[in-house]
Amino acid sequence: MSSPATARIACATPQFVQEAEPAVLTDWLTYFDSDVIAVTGNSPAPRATSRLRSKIRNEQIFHPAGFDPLEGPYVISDVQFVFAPTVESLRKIPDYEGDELDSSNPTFVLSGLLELEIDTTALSTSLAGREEYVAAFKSESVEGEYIHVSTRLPLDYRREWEGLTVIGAGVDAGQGDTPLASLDCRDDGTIQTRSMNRSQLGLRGVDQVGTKRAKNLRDAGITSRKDIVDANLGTLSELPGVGRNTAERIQQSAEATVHDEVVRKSDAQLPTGDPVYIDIETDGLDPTVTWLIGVLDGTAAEGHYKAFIQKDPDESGRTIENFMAWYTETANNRPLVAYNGFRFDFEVIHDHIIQYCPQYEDAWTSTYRFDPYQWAVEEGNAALPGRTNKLEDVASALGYERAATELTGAAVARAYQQWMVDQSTSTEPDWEQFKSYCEDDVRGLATIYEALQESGRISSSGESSPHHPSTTTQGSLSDW
Amino acid sequence: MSHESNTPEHTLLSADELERTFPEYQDQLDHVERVSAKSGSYVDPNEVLRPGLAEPFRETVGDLYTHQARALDQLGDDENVCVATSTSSGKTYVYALQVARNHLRNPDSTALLVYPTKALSRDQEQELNDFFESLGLDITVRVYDGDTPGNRRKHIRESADVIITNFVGSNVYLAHHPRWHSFLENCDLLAIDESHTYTGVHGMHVAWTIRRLRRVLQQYEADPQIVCTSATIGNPKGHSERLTGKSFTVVEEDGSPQGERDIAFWNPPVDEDVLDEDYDFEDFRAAQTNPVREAGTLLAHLGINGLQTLLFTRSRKNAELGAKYAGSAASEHPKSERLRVEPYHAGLGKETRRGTEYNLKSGHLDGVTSTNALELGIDIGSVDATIVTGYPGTRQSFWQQVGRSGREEADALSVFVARSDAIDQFILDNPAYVLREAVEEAVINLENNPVYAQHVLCAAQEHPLKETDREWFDGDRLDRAVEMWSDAGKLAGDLSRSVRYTGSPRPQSDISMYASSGTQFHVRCTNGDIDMEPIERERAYRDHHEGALFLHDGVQYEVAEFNEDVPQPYITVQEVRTNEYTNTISEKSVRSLDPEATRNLGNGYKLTWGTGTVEIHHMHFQRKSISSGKPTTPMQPTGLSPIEIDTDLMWVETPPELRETVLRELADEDLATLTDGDVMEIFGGGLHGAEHGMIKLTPLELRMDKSDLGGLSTPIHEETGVPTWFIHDAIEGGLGFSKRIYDQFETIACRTRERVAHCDCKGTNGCPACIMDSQCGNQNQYLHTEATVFVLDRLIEQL
Repeated sequence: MSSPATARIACATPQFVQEAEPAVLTDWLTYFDSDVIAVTGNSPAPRATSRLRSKIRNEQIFHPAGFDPLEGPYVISDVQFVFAPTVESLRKIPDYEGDELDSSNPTFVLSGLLELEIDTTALSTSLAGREEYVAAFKSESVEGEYIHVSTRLPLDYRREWEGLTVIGAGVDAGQGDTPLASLDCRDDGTIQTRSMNRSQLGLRGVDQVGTKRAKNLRDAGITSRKDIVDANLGTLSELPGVGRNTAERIQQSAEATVHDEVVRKSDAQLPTGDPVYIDIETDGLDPTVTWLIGVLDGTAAEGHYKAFIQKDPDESGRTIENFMAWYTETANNRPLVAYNGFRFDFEVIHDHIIQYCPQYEDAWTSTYRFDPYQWAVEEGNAALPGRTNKLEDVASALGYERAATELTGAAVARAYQQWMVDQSTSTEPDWEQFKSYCEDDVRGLATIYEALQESGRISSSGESSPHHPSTTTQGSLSDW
Repeated sequence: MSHESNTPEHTLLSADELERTFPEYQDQLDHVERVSAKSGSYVDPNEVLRPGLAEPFRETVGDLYTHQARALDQLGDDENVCVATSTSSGKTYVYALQVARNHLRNPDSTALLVYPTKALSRDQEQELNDFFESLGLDITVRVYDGDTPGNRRKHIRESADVIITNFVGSNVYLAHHPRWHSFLENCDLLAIDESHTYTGVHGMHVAWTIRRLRRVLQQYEADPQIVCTSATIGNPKGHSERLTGKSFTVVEEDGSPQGERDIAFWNPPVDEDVLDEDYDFEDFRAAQTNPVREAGTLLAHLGINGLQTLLFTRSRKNAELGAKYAGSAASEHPKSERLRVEPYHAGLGKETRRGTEYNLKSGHLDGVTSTNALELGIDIGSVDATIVTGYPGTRQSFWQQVGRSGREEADALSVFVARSDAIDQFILDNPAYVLREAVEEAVINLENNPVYAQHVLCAAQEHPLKETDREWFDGDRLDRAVEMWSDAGKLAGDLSRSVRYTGSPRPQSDISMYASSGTQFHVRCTNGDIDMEPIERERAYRDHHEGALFLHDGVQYEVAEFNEDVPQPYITVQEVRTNEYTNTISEKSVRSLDPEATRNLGNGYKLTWGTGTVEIHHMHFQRKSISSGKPTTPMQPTGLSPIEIDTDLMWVETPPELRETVLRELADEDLATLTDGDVMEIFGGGLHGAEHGMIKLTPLELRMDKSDLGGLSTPIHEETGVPTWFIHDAIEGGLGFSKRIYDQFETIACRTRERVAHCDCKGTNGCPACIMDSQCGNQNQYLHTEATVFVLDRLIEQL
């Protein structure tokens, strides 16, 4: 299947752009590798734009609250955009049609003109700026399909407001604990969001390095992961609050990302027995249904893929029940492996077993479950490669190439949500596409597991370390 | 000295003896009330319980009190029961025995007990386990709360018969209810201990959390009986029903015995000679003997004379100070002895608190100075005397503190040490108020939308919302909430099929169970640690603008940065040591009045309750010296823009002629020569005084704090067109208090008139004991006591 043309917008608040250390900013730009950078929120923040300009090569910058923002129609990577810093820019849209814009293709209108106002006292939400927006963007005088993206709306916001399709570009992306984000705008009119935590960028993306250690490293002239790899272990050990063991772990983690390889840190054993790799698809982060469980039996390259799917939303629990019947009958006692499973997949499966097929609860609680993410990162048994510890980033650093269309967990969940609300031909998910997406994830997972198995132990004086806090959290489905 | 001999000299256990022996006595004793002893009424447990339970109970505890027996009978008849009897009347046995009965009927039966504090939970866990063991029952009781280690949780959920928790925890655990399924499926009893503590904003959150809990229980086909145990409150039935949404039977006739008790009303001396005619708030405060110091001296005197004493203060800092004052008073005492006294409050570490509880119980301490942390039922054994420093805000709390001395049939002494403010002075004038009148009503306002809306979101996460959920969430109001959250991108679907939660994970953890609005300011400290709950927007604007000084846990902080323009607003503070405080000047206006209920009193007087918008602009502030009250800095801008609160309010309209009537009565000069300033001083001062006085005395009727209310008075209001004063709920969406003031207006107005008319203060500016208020945004300008009384008299004539 060929992917539709896609243009990527990276979104971040000006505070992030202004305050991030140079290595973090570079890391961010490289990671998202976007076509457009949208500076979100309400602040004019002149320094943000000038700082960005000094860093980038070809990307467009759209900062509607800033000085002299980008305006007008653009075709970027074969996707049509109108940048609309003011309502005046909206009025010109009909004139672009047939000229700069092909009205048979969808167009993304990017602005900072729409904002949510939630009044919990009156129990009503309004879209501030909508009246002026609608008056200027006369939907009756345009022919094409328009999708309205606002930099003042939160990431993953999407709603129809009386004919206006409104989407959020991450009003607070990169601020505090809110993840940084990107929007993939595609020429079929859809948008997919991706996100990553700020703490995964730059030196802090290295295991054992938090804000304080990152500062100490920078003060010592070590500003990138490459610098850490090249540094003398003795020099690292002498930094404030860093002993020899920690220095080793820092260096191993940096090596993993710089050299795209798993670096083992302990003798701990992986489970014995042939693993069963699984990945689940749900209707969101607080799921009410598990409607797809992808299972890989065998190796990443050649294993047999099997999908348990439930197309009818009213058959709650069907997928789980079929999967458990299969597992207990044919794969019993083999370890179940899921990436970040102890934070999501295993938990959700357990909840849904209790809810829909409690007869399997005992069977479930006695299975051997294994989470490579927890084992490697949280328990400190190995450093994983990749710019983040997300499954797709780690697998891709290990050389795994996804076969299917690029999708995100959030988009898959949303598609099923829409199907749950309204089961019609127009909302029916492309089941085969979702099965392939899930297959990519389990094969990626198997790639990581096999790399962990193959990785020999690098010499280390430290024992397998106890738990230490993870630098990643499941901020959104698309993180994993 | 110590109590190890366990033979205290009981000679001092009366107010007469206290008066006779107190060093340098200066007529502090205002009034003495002697509460006579009462014998207990008992029922043979065999009349109520099956023999297998009755016999072991009688052997280990004894007979049942009549109220326990009646409550158990009602529970046997499948009623939900609220037991509202005195402190230490054995309310715990009611639900403990119901747990035992359920267990004997079905060994898988479980029960959820909810306590207001973690300390109380730990205390009761041990007691209950011991109790069930003494009955020979295999019932495991475990605490499950924020302090429960992660690796113990699963085991407790799956194996405990009885789980003790609190509502802050319950709110969060509901997100993971499938993990609790075996416990929830078998849940036959929900006990809500000290249920009277759930009022105001916290009460609203708890009421909705209970509905969410009952809704989840229903999914597991469980519908437990509910027992509320409460201190005596004015409306036990109504309160229990609003809290839980179920109907209740009340048991309040107390069968427990009581010893004889003296309650002494004690007024610390005021040095009136230092006050000149024009004294202000600070002058007055400086002239009174610090009531905490006075209380410390009393504690020392009682302790030295062999009476183990518990002293209650209103803040952690005062609990610390009280212990210091008592120590130094003991060394200056004629008998000059070393006194063993420890402070106790929630800011101290757990170990320290456990140690103090133990030392108090075992008689190793002569006294403890405590916040209300020891007011609730933690078992500390019996003390001989209690000292209540400052009216604790409610009669119910007053009796709870008083009742901590003289458990069972022993005689006891309690001393109430008055502060200089309006309520305390009112009580000295009218001790009958605390002694005779019914205790306050506990208010829960289910109508507050901001709180309601947060719980709707959580409920959707716990289980998709359907049409049948209108039963739990107030009918059509649910449709509005669902539409709002759908527009905001946090819910999806419609009620006819199902509405699912689509926001960021675990909305439960976004709820602050003590605040109403979503916007809260987190507190960060630049030069140390600070453990402070997030601050509501309204309070942050008032008390935590840049440059404001405030106290927290006895430490002074200055606000260095106030940042609202970020997704998570915060203030940055730094520890400072100054001898100053800040005084903030505000401008307030009230508009968009929307009356919901009106009482026309005739002759142009009118009372109204409704909703409106209160705009407050905290414009300037100034630092002042704590000791002199004089400014130490010029006025500075706060840099804040005005804030608006949409809330509930009640207002009093008076006829325009009142202005002239008041001036004719009270102005010394010809009316024609009066300046605008004179008019403001007298007539404006009368309206302002009536507003202040009513706000200050409302806590006499309702369980609340006066900062839950705000007010405004004006000689002419834009919308009413006549002289008006307003009293409004201080929180967005309302708290339910202004409505109750409207309902109980007559009582509150008469009380206020009494207090102002009988206040001993000189001149007409009033004093903190009547109409001056430390939180006034106009620096108590203008206030006029005579005009206040005159205005209230005219109004009361119409009632």
